[in-house]
This record gives sequence, structure tokens and C-alpha cells, in this order.
Amino acid sequence: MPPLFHPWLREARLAALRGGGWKRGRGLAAALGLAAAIGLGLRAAGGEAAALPAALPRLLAQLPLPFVLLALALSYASARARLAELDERLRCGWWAAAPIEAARTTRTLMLLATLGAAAALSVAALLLAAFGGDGERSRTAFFVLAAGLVPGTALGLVAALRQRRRPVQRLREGAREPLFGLRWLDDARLPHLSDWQRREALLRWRRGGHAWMIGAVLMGLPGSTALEAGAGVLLIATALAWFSLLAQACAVASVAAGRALAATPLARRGLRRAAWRYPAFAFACACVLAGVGAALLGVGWRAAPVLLGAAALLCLPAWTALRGGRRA
Amino acid sequence: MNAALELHGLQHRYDEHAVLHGIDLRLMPGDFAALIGPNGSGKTTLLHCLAGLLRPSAGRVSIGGHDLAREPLAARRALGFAVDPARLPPLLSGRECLRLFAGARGLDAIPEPTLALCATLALAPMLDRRIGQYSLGTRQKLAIALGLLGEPPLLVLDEPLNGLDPLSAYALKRHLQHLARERAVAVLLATHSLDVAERFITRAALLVDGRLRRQWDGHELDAIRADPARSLEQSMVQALAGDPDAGSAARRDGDC
Repeated sequence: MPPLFHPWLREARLAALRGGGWKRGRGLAAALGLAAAIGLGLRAAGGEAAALPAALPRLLAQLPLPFVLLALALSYASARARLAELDERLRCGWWAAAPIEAARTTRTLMLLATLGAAAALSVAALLLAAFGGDGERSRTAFFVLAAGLVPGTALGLVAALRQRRRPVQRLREGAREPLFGLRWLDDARLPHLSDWQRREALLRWRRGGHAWMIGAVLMGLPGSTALEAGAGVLLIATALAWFSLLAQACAVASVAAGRALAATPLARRGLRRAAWRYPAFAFACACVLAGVGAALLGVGWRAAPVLLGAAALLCLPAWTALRGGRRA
Repeated sequence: MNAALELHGLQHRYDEHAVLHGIDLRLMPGDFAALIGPNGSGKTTLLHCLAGLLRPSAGRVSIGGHDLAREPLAARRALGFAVDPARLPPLLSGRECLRLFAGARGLDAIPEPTLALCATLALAPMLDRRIGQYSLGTRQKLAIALGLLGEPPLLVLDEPLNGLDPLSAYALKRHLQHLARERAVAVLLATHSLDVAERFITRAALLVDGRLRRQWDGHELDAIRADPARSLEQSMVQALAGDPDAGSAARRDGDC
């Protein structure tokens, strides 16, 4: 009987045995473990705190639509990105020269999508069990998450397979000149770094970037929301999504610039100073946007710490990229 | 006899930028051909198109009589392609890599000739180490060994001598020459080493701006070798300068 799957599975098994997979997934595993531990810890603490973890399954059961959409968007984005990346690696990486049927690759991607969805459902079930609460509500909450995770993963798989049919675009960058000159952002010794960061951010934004964040927030708005309040939420969500994406893009561009200039006598401090200009300007713009949103929403200055906290949380991947770049 | 490789009107473009403009090329079993040309002339794009890594914008690629677009699996079985050494999996050992690849080619174990080639290239002592610990040259040797695994009837190598020490480079050239002469394997290698091309190959094609500007057959190469005053390098420079005589061979249809 001819083999059904791509031999990459054996490569992945060998690499996983040597810690390859663990290194990439340890952040997520640690976060999930911490969430479960917090849930169990609060329940064990007793008193009023014990009721806190059960609020999550209750919220999921009470507001199914936004959470279904959020789970769908997250699982779609994750499945699509990972499967498309693997598919391209199998077609153009070191396996490219091997005579392997495309159907075997497709079956492997389907298997991975199925395993990924099953793992996500298992993790969701374990987390809900750790958070406790009413059994009926926990079951409903699980079905809410499953209703988003399963179709999201399936759609991600379909999108990854569709991407295979399109030729790889290598030259078209698509980033045009800015609407107004940003030369004053340029450092004298690194005159193109801010433009590099801008282009990287623009390309990521055009590829869909963090649009899911805006979509998820909008979907979560009750139908009775007033127009002004809705516009305020939209502006705040856009500012947060845009700035978090821009921070990641700037981190990636700065790390790449640092590597490209590693052999030059440019001091690290000089590079750091030049790398902060564009994100700092973008932060000011995002603050203005979020400020207008907050004014429309009528929340005033009290919302500032919450918004800054949310922005800092969303920018964590950028910090990770910067730290990873420094270590490399 | 089926041609080992046939390219008909092969075109490729990246967006609006055309890189290959209707390439026609035919290699018979036993041909040892060099693809030469300036940087950016389209050599790597051409090799990637015929290895199936890039989809041509137009034209046809046939390997061992199998159309690459219609019968990709049969065409790939007849092709050995040395992949980019940077893409080899760093956590696996060279031996594991070869074993996995042998399995993908339908073999139970690493074939003896591949292990012999590894010994010839001084790769054997490194085979049980992780690829992440390999130098660039050692990775290149492994990529070549993978490409040659199973002795497919057509070998396509992109700058295979890059990073190789002189002894390994010489051994590889002799091995490729042996495969072409004794096993009727067709070899197509893109190279900038014109001295290599001149001494070992039986055919050469000059690619300039995505077009085959000039081709040399075995007789022309023999004549160049026999005359100490001439060299392939000189002939290529003339062709690049637009020597009208130099272009005559390129106007012949089909075979190079």
C-alpha cells in the first residue's frame, strides 16, 4: 500500500524528539498552564475569589456569538498561517526535490489541521474544567468555543490549499510612498530605517494584519449600541490593532537592520535611537486616534491606563521579537 | 531515445518583470552541460522552473519524456536536484536526512553509491552529526548527495562547487563526468567556474537577460580545448560583446 502521508511527519517527529517543536510552542504552553493554574488556585483559595474563574464559562454561555466569532477568527488565522507556511516549505524547501505526490502533502495538511483542532478542543475542555462552575454552562461554553474552532481551522486549511495554486509573488512589494514626507523621522546615520519600518508595517496591514481584532470587537458590540459609542469603540480597536501590528513590524525591521549592519562600526545605541523614531511617532498617532474614540465613547482619562495596558499586552510579541533578535 | 530534458518556449516572470524569454533547450542522456551567464541572467530561475519549484509563466518542461505540468511525479522521479543547502533541517543528522530522502524515492536504505559518494566528498565522518553543526561546504556536499541519491537520469545542480574545498570539488567534477559518460546521466549545472566548464563538460549554453545568447556543442568545446590561444571565457566574453560569429550557434534550433 503506498504511503498516505508526507515523510515530513517523520522529520517532524525526529525534530520534536530533539526539542525543536517545544522551543516554538513553549510560550503558548506556559500561558495556558498559567491560566489553568490561576483558575485552580482561585478556586482552591475559597471565599469570593473562588467564584471568579466560573465567570468565564458563564460569559461564554451568555454571549455566544462574539466568542464563536473570536474563536473562528483566531483558529482561522493560526491554521492558515501555519499550514500555508508548511505547505510552502514542503514545496520549496529541502523536500522540493523529492518525488512526492501533491495528494500526500494535502493529506498531511488535513491530518495536521485535524490534530490541531482536536488539541485546541482538548485544551479548551481542560481550561473550562479548571475554571469550574456550573456543568451545564461549562458544556455550553465548550460548544461555543468548538463552534468557532472547528470551522475556523477548516477554513484555514482551505485557504492554505488555495494559496498553493497562486504563484509566489516575489517582487511586488505594494508599499507606495507615504501620503506626506516623513524625512524628519530619519536618523542622519540611518536615513532609511523609518521607511523600512513603515513599509514592513504597511505590507503586514495589507495582508490582513490584525484586522481580526477589529472584527472581533465590532462583532461583540450589542445591536443597541449608539452610533457615537460604536464609532468610539471602532476607533479605539483600530488604534490598538494598528499600533500592535506596527510595533511587531518595527521590531522585525529593526532586528533585520541590526543584522545587516552588524559588520559596520555603527554603535548599537545609535541603531536603537534610530529605531525608536517611527514607532514613537506612530504611538502618538495611535494615542490621538484612541483619544478621539474615548471622547466619542465618553470614558475620558480614566480609560487611559486600561488602554495603555491593552496596548502593552498586544505589543508583547514585538518585545519577544526584539529580544530574540538580540540573542541571535 | 527520449531526451533527458526538453524545454520549449519556457518563460517566467516575477510580476511584470520577465526573467526568462522563451528558452528552448534539449539535453540527451549522457550530456554534461553547463549553464553559464552573468549574475541576474536567469540561471537559477531556469533551474527552479525545471525542478518544479517555480511555475513557468508559459512554455513546457519535459523530463525523461514526462511533462512536468501534467505528470509531475513521473518527471520528478527522473530528476535529481540539489536543494539550497541553507534549507536543510538543522536538527536532523545527515544520515537521517539521506534515509528520509531515500524513503521518498522508494528505497529501503541509503544506496551504496550515495554512501560511496559521501566518502569521496569526505562527508562520511560528518553524517551522524546534526546538520546545524555543519559548515557551509559540508551542507553543500549533503545537498549534492541528496540530489544524486538514486542516480536519477537527469541531474540539475546550481553552483554545486560553491564552498567546496579543492579536493572535494575535483572529486565531484570527476564523479559527475563519470555519471554522464558511464551511466548516461544527463547533467545540467549552472556555474561561474568557466575553467571547470571548459575542462569537464560536453556542452555549454550562455544565458543573458533570460535568453540563450550562445551555445557550444562538443566539437566547438574540443576545438577550444585544442587551441591554447582560445578559451571558453574568451568565447563567452565575445558572445557577451555581441560578436556576430559568436551568435551563429545560438540561432540553431533545439539542441545545444
